[in-house]
Amino acid sequence: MILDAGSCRIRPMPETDSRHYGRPPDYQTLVAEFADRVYRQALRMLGLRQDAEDATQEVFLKVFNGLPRFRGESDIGTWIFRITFNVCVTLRQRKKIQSVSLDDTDRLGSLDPPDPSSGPDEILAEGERLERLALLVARLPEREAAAITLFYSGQKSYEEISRILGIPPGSVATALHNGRRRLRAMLKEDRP
Amino acid sequence: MTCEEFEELVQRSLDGSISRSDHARMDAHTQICPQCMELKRSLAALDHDLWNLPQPEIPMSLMKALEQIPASAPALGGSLSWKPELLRASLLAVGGLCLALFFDQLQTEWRALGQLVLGTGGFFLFSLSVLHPIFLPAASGSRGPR
Repeated sequence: MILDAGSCRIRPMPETDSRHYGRPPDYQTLVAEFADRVYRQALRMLGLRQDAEDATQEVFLKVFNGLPRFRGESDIGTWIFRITFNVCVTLRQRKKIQSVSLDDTDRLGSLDPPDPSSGPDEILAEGERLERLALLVARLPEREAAAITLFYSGQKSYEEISRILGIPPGSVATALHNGRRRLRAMLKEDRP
Repeated sequence: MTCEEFEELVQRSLDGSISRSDHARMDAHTQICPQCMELKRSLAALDHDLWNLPQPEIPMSLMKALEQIPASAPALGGSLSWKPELLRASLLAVGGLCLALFFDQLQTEWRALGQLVLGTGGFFLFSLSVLHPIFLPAASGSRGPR
C-alpha cells in the first residue's frame, strides 16, 4: 500500500512488471498476465465490448509477432500497453469515435458521492451512473481517455503513463486534468 | 489565491501531489469562494467514481482466442514469423556462393585482393546466419503453440 502525504489517500501498490527485464518473455504467460488489463484499457478507450475484443486480439497478435525482437531492455508491460494505446487510437480513427470539446467546462457540474447507507435501488442507480461514466471516458480525446484509464484502472504513476504514451510527465498531468474537466462538463450535460 | 490556481491545486490534490501547506491555502480559499467549494466537491465526487468504475472480466471465448494465436498466426498474411528462416536461408546461399568462388579463385590463381574480399564476405555471412540474435533458440523458442 502507498500513503500519499498530501491527500492522505491510501492506494493499492501499483503492479510492476520489472521481473520481465533481461529475459525473453513467454507468450502464454503474457496472455495470462496482461489480457485482462489490455481488455479493460481497450474497453475504456473504445466504449463497446465488441470493439474492445477486436482490439485485444490485434494487440496480442502484435505482441506475438514482436516477441522475437523483444530484447528485454524495457518493461514488457510498458511495451504491451503502448501497443494497446496505438491499436485503440487506430480503431477510434477507423470508427470515427467523436470526442467532446472543452468549451463547456466553466459550467459547474454537480456530482453527488454515494451515500454509504444506500439501499438496493440506490446501489443499482450508482451502478448505472458508473456505467454511464465509463462510456463517457471513451468519448474523451484519445490521450485523455488513455491517461484517465491508466491512472485509475491501471493504477499507473505519471512516469509509467509517460513512457506508455510517449509524452513528458507534465503532459500526462495536463491530459488527466483536462480529462477530468471535460468529464465534469459532460456529466452536467448528460444528467437527466 | 485565484480561482484558476485553486482548480490547479484541486486537480493536483486528486493526483496525490500537493503539500499540507497547499491544502491549508485551499481551505482558506473555499471559506471565501462558494463556487470553488462546489468545484472541489464535484471533482472529488468524479474522482471517487473514477476509482470505482466497473472492472469487467475478459470473456472466456476471447481468452481462448488469444491463447490460440500462436497456432493460427503463421496462416495470417501479416505474420513476420517466417522472415528469420527465409533470411537465414538467403544468407547461407550467398555465403556459400562466396566461399565457392573463393576456393575457385585459389585454383585459378586470381588476384589476392579478390580472394580476400570474397573469403571475408563468405565468412561474415556464415557467421551472421549462425550467431545473429534473431536466429538464436532463446528468441525463437518463445514462439509456437504449446
